[in-house]
Amino acid sequence: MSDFDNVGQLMCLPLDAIQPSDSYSAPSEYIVAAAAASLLQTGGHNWIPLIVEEAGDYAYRAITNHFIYVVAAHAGLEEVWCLVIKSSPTDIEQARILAGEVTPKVNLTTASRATITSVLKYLASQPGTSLKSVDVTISASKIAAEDRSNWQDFAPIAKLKCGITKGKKLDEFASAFYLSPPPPPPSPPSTMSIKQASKQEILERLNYLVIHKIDGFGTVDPEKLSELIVNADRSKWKSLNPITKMNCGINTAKVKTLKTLFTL
Amino acid sequence: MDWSKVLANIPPQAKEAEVCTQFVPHLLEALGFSEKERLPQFSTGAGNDCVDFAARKNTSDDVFLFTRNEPDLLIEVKGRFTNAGGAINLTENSHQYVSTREQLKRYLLSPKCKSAHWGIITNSSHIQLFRCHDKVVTPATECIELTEENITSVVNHIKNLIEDTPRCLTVCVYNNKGGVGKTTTTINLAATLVTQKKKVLLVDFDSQRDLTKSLGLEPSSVKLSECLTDNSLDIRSAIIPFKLTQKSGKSNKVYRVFDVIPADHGMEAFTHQTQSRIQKGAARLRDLLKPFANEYDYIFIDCPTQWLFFSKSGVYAADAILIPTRHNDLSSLQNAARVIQEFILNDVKKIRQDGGPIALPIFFNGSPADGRSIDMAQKEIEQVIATAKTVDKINLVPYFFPKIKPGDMNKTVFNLPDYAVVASSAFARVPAVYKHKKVLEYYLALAREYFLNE
Repeated sequence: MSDFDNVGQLMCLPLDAIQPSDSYSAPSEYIVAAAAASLLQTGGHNWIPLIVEEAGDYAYRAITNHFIYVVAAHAGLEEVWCLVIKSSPTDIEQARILAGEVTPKVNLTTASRATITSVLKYLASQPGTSLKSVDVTISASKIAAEDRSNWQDFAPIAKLKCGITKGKKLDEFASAFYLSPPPPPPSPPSTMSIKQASKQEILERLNYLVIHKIDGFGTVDPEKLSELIVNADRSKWKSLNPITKMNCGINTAKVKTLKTLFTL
Repeated sequence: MDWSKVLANIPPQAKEAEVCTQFVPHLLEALGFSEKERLPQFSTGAGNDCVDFAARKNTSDDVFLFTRNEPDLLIEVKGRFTNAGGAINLTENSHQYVSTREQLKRYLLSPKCKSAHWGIITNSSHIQLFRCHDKVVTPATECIELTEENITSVVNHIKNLIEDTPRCLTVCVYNNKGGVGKTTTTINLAATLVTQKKKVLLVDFDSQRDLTKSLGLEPSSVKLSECLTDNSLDIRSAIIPFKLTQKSGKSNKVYRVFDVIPADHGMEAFTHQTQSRIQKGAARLRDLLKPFANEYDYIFIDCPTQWLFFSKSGVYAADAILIPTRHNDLSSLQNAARVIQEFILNDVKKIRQDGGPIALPIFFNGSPADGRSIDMAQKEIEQVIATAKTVDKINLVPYFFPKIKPGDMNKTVFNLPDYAVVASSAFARVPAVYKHKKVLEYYLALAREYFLNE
């Protein structure tokens, strides 16, 4: 925004310099006609602006409030008052959200129980919804109780038995949410023999599993476990199973994960 | 041109000789100069000075490689590293950038290079194009860091620019402080350039209409204020010729001196409603003046004081800003520094993103050649320069004391004498330079100092 462009300013622009929406359709002919009459009655100055972006030199594209363009054109006006906004996808999205044209999405990775409940209530109240039969309180509780931090898509919801099944219901649910999972973990450290590994080498591999919460390792204390492994008599081990008896949260399922980083 | 291959062949620590052999020939090729249209080590005619490369398009009876005259483009090459192994940083405003730019400017103004309209500095990591118009060298691009991704578009952009050399230099006469003689300077400088066979257009972009009134002009049926808001109007229709009548024997001869786009009453009545109809805001005037790029040698824009719509428009539209000051008005000196630092360098130049505009060094309008008041002005300038250096880390020396060279602390500021005579002529509706020979000489000196490369 500067004095050398029109971003952020209310501008009176020629209608023929504005490219209208190619997807908007006005509610009804009579509403447009009546609105145009109202606009002309008050001198043709539209107090609610059309929202536009700069599409080129002295050329603009309608972003939202498309109704105003249709009414101004119907009224035969040559100029229309517009608010010029920044031409970035996020700014355009924001304008459409604030104009009520687009429903904003909520981040399900971090959403609270209250937020999930609120969104579900809104969705269930929409006409023609497939989520009418869903018990909002129960569904929201079940979803909120899950660790969603690593969800890459919405598929886990269908497995929660919360009434939101795969198909139409899940699609409708997904229309109001997005996910922001952490980026995939970096490539793992190289595999090495558990018998020959130093404490540092064991710790490095355990840290990898713990930091990236791989297969439930997020609850394992890497310092304690590496200490226990180093102090155990590893020379006689015929498998990694002795680790399960160290009473530090490693079960046979986790041993399977350990095998990706340690050999005998 | 496979630029990724070219760039890959340049050693990361290339010396100047390697940049000259591995990069510049490809660059010249891409800019449209064949092998017979370029010369290495071109003698500039100033002592033993040689610019690294010169180029010009051949004509049917003139092959540049053979005739070796009238170059159109000069290239000053640096290495990525010096022969001693030190890195050469050509980032804008680095010490090496400034010295390379000044070197190119010197070459462009040399006796055998007066025909050159363009100059490039490059070390294959950075590149910048400059335009030379008479004596004024202005950046035509920013100093751009070359990458595999941008090099094709950067070179194409430079090619497009040098293939369409504009005839015109647009100059805005501006100081944020009033009473420094902006309008008088504009009129008389324009009239002086006309005596040197330059075709000049004046734009009165001041709602007070001083320039228009002092020349006794009235706007045409198409007005400048209307052209700002109505894109369908033709700005050419807003031009009014300024004519003078000269007695020739028994008859009178009418001469067209220069053209003027007068200010009009619509500019006085500027309201929020009007501004809401000016698309691109203060960038609009620059677009409006584009049709004149090849019709005039100079366009001068006269602007009001105060950093508002009119002056912002004038500075944004200009290639160079000429800043008059008064030696006995210390505020005019402080305001000149403000114009350079805050308005040109920190505002307009950053938004334009084409390297421009530039500020020309200030001059004293109507001062004695020396004396106590000049000493005081010099001290004030030293203070202004010191503050800018410590507080804002900006070197204002070239803008106030342009004659200072290493080992030569020449603090002379160009001085335009006899302000009173010039000012009084405004009432006669004839530029003072046409009424007083002495005044013409003074203004010719000003024109030679800043513009004419004779």
